Amino acid sequence: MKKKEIIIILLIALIAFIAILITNQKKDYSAEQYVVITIDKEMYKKIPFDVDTYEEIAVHTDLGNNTIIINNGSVDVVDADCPDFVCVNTKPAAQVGDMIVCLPHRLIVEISE
Amino acid sequence: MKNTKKLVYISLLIAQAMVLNYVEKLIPFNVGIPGAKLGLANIITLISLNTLSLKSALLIVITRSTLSAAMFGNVSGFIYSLSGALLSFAVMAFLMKTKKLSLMTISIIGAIFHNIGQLSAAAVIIANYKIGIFLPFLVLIAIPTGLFVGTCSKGLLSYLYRTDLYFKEK
Repeated sequence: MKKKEIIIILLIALIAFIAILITNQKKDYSAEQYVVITIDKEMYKKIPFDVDTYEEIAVHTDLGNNTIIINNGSVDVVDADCPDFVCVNTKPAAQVGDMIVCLPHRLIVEISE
Repeated sequence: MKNTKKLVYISLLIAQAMVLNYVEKLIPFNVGIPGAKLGLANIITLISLNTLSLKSALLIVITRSTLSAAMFGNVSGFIYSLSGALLSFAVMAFLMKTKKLSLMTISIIGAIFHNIGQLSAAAVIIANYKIGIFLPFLVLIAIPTGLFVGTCSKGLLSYLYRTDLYFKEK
């Protein structure tokens, strides 16, 4: 590897790092927030969301099953029968813009205004 | 005679790519980001790009993706991985032609484009372009994994060049 190549790669890493910082900025949202669950392009459920919301949602579709728990101001996919378990390992969503995706089941859980 | 040898070599590479896909599933590497993986099968793509014609290398990529999906995956996973594999193949083949970059850099850039292809396919399938927010994380993961894959391929190729397993048109 030449010096030039290392610089290019470090530059790419820097851009990615800055992009993460920008997308992770904490913002104040006073407006009402919702947990939106989308399955295969269609909205499945839209739940008003704040710190006190408690709800356990079991999603059963032809594509598969996921269990979502909303508690203590965060949303987490706690169980799934997908092959990769990415959604279960994703950290709980707590802010507007956070999302949990289960690609095999085409399921998206996101927090929106 | 030479054709038989080439045929066996291609088949072996496909089989090895599938084994690598399987081994990769045994290694716990789940960071909660869709599409993040080691990408060990890219070793085979890099080797085929270096020792075979473009056509044969493309054949290996498509065949290994299809067979792996049939054996260990599912249909939607197949669409994501094939889109990633084809885009990354095109980019790596182009970079290999320019002969300006080392195998490690080509591997890292290939890994990044694999992620871009995969995420784009996923964005279209689930009709949500916001999953692009995962791309910076995937790029950061692609750098060490791509470096590892590139180093492995380089080591392997240095042995392969000493054999007569070289079917690239001069």
